Amino acid sequence: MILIAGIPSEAPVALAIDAAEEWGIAYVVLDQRAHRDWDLTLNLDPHSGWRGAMTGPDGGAVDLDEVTGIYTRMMDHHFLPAPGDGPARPGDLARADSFHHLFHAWLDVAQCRIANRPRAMMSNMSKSYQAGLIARLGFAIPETLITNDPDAAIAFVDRCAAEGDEVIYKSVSGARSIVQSFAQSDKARLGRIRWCPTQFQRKVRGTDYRVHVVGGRVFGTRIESAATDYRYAARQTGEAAALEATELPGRVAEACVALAAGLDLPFTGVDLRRTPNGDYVCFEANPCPAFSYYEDHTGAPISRALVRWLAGDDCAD
Amino acid sequence: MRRPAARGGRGAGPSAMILIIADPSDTGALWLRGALGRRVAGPVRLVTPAQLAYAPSIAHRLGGPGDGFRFALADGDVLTGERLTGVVNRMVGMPFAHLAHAHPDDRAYAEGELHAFLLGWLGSLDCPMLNEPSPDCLAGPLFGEIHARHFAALAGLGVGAARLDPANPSAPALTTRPTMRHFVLEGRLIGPIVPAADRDSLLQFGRLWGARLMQIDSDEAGDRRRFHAASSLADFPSGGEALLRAVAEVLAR
Amino acid sequence: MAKKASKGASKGSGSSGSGGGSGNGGKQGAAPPASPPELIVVTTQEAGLRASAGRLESIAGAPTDMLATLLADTRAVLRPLFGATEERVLSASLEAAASRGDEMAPAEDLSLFYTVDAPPERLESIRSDLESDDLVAGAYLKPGAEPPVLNDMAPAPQEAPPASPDFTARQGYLDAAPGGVEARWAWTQAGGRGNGRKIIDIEGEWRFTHEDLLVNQGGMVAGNAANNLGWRNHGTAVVGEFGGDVNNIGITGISPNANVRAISIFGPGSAGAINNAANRLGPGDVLLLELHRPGPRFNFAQRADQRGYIAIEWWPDDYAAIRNAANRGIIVVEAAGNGAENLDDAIYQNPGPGFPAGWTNPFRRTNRDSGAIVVGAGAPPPGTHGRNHGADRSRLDFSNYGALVDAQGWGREVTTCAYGDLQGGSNEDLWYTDTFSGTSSASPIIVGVAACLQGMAQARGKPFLTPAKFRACLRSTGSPQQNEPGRPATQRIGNRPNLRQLVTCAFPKPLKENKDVKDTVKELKEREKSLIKEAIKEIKEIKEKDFKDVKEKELKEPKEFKEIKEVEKNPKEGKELEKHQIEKNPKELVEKNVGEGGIQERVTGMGDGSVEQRLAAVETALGGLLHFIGGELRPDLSTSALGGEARDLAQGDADAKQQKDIKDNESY
Repeated sequence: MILIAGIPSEAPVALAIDAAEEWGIAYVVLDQRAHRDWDLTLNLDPHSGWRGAMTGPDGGAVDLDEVTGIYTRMMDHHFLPAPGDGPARPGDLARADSFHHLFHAWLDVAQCRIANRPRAMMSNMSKSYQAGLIARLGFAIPETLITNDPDAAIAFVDRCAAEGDEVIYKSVSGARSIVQSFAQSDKARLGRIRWCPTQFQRKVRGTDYRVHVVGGRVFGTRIESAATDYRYAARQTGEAAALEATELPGRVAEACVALAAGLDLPFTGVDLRRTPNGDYVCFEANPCPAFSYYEDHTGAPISRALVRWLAGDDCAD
Repeated sequence: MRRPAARGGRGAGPSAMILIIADPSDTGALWLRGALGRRVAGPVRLVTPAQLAYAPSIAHRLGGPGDGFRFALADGDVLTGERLTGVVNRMVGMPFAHLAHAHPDDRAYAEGELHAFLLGWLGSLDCPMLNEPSPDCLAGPLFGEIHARHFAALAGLGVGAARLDPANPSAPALTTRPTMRHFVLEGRLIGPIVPAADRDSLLQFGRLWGARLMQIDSDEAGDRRRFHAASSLADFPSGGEALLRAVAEVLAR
Repeated sequence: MAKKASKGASKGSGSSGSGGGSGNGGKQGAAPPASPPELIVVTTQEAGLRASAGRLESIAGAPTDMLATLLADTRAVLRPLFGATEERVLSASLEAAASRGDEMAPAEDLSLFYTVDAPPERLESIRSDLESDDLVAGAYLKPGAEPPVLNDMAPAPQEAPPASPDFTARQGYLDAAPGGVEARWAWTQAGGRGNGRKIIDIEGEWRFTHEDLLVNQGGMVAGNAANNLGWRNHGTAVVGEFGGDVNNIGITGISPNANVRAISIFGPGSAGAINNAANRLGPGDVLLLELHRPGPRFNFAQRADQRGYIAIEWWPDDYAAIRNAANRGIIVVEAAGNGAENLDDAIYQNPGPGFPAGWTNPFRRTNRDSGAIVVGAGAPPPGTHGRNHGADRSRLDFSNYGALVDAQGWGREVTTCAYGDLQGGSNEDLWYTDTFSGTSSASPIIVGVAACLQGMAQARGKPFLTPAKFRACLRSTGSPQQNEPGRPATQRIGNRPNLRQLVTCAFPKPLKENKDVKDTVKELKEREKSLIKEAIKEIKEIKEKDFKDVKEKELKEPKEFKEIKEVEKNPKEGKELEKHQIEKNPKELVEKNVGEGGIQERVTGMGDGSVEQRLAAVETALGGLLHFIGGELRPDLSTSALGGEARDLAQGDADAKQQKDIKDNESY
């Protein structure tokens, strides 16, 4: 049996539920909006650690020891829409805090397949931190400078320009920003970086790829767009991006699987760019991928692979 | 994810340096600086998080030929990775007084950016660190009681029974006091000698915890070593000569 | 044993020898009998021995049968020296680690020390058997401790008057420097009588019913009284020097407002007494070791003339206890001893028989440092009480000397309670002496000075001096040691303290970069403050430049509005929406716009508002520093978006879904 935790109407979660239905995989849905109606108990076994049990709104008990895999796409519970029946009661927030604290802690220690463990997902809170991990796991990463020194930034921009490359700038933290190219007029504003180091990156020319890793399987998507940040293509260029399912070279697929394993993110969305001379540069590993967007546009059976992996089925289709 | 132990011979020689990053009120780190300074040939430099954050010039490069970092500090010193053989990383907090001057919309964002920068920079240092940073705490993994007791149980250390639910999210504290403190440093156990089974349990706990250096407090309950508390922030003075010797070995090779 | 009070040849008399400290000892004036010798055992770390609470086992699994047999055969009992069980010793150590003072050296493992209860005559043979056991790192016999005393004063026969006179004027050591320590001046300072501080004296017995010792004392709190007049006189005289009550009779102590207690070594042994005292004290408090012991010079033999007697930290268990006390910030004052010994001599480099391997000589602080303040005995100003003992502050012939002696006190002519030569009679509670001597009388002066200084620290709101700081100030201030024929100042006993100078050393006026103190906590914190100030100054500059830039842009291109997001979606409602914007928070009037190749910040919603109105809006909006990556590049993915997300998805809004789907990261 697998557990799917999140907002059921959200596209990625909805796809996962549909896939489980379709493949006859027993599943339980923990609707995060209804967390008040769920109970969770953890008992400490002196030899094997925590053992969990949950009870749902319908009174059904879930022995978490029988769950083989969990897909979690939970949001910060402070931002959950309030329940329909008026303002929150005083004890509600405390209970919500406790419930989520216990659930997330249990996700970290549970001995089953988890997509993904909360601790592992945290590496994405710093792009440069994650980039360091990615580089150590063997991928090329874009040339990056994080600095508070306008002179250093200008030197970097000029050097890249001399080699025919643009420079983009973007957030280092998990609060993502729309990737933007550095323009000459931006030099005048560089004084602002003095109070907060800012990330500049040599723009990698090439084609965007998004690779979804599910356990040992990969699903590649090629993306064509003129925008600097294809996610905001409509806003930036007026045209949506074009997505297409694609096979990746064996070594790249293997590298993605190894990357996901090394980051302890068995379900990952890896952002790559293939340069004109055939190298693959990795930008990011997304620990909570919005894979539905890609599945909808390319038909890649990501949700199917996900629920089967959670059920313990590693077979290729 | 732990990076492997640093390759040897790097930065060896009299100019090799050990860096301690600690808040001015971290007396344990200040003590360590003096004690280490008497023990190793090269300099032991202390720098505070504020000195780093307010450095007039900061540059962290990755992914290119000029990988590395450079801080030009306010007092004129320049900090790079060249001579570093080891780092004692005690950066539990981040200086953010200056962020009060940010636009309110930008304040939280800037805090996140500064934190992310520090995490990425600390994570990029390739010499041995006590400890490598973790996303949950810049100074090393920060586990609560749920994780800690889980590791203890798996490692074969005694743990009190506990039952948690949203109404009772915390386990009752032990009423006895710990009687022993051990340190696990790079898979070595430092501290009072204990029976082999206990020794293995403590080492296994350290492996599960995942920091290069961590400390475990325990006592004896019947025939079992019972877990009390653990931390990635080692209390260096309580480790005596043995810990000091081992730390010097790790950081000065 | 006794030396005559006046300068002159020594004369041996009275009892000596090891064993027994019980009963009314010897004739009056004889040296108090030594405490019993102690057989100390140090076990190996690896053994993990547990010899308490009915156990004799090794938690590491090592065989203990040989040890058990030995103990049974000799009917000796092995017990932990520093607590009832090893667990309690370790637990107390962990607690001490939590309250560690700044003076931190590696912790000594007190759980490895044991003492053996057995008949004194069998101790040596048990010792050599124990030494050869695998579980034992060292087993050594400590000769009994004696108070460093040269006093054979007998009480004057005539009864004391109905009210004791005021003898304070005879206490020259209270006076101004160089003759005294400036105690009278310290009394005029806030906290300068040792207010709030605690002192514990460690020796054998005291007369706490003495008429001038009634206030601010807690009596003997551990150990058993020696039951001997010699020990009792000694302890009472010692306590009088720093604890004598403030009244118009008798004497006045240097630090009379400090609380005084005592612990006897009879019972716990010297190291056990030290550790017991340390558990009752903390930073700002003082511990006094009024003991010395026969050293290797004369093969550890008890001697009537106390030649060859040395400070007790030379023995491993005493060293460990002293070190751990100093680690807790307690000032430990230790008599150097009356053995007329040069403590720098190479003879002290050799470990005593049975010392554990790895022992090093603490008399050379380059080897290791107990953290104690070691006190020598110096001559008072010539003419004090009409007598002359050599040049003022010269070494007295019996005083030990050497590099580790930190300071000197009066070793002769000390007026204080007890003995009865100044005022005698049949009631001990009324006895006073004019001639208390030895490193015995010198050490309490340093104790009083320490308590006054710590009292002043507290009154000024300063942190207490660490033992290291106190030692450094003692060594760098004060009235210097002087030469005397046959006893040059190169035979170091240190300076006589001067409280005025100590105050300047302990509480220096701030500023002036001193390389030595550069890296203290205080310096670092001050550096932090100036860093922040500089950073804020820079920030102000950035802010002003920012504001200038935005203002300029605004003036240059007043009307280039691109459609805002909502206007894009709902062109019809553009005008109404703009109207709504005006009512909103001025902050939200700064609408961001993204175009190819650059960010342009615009103030919108003002329609055709005047330049002044637009500038006013910019000023309000620019209430703080702006990040280089402006808010317009950071789609608002927090509260409202997430709240709207669920709603929008439920409505199956494709556009919203696309926006949402590109949000990859849940907030964690």
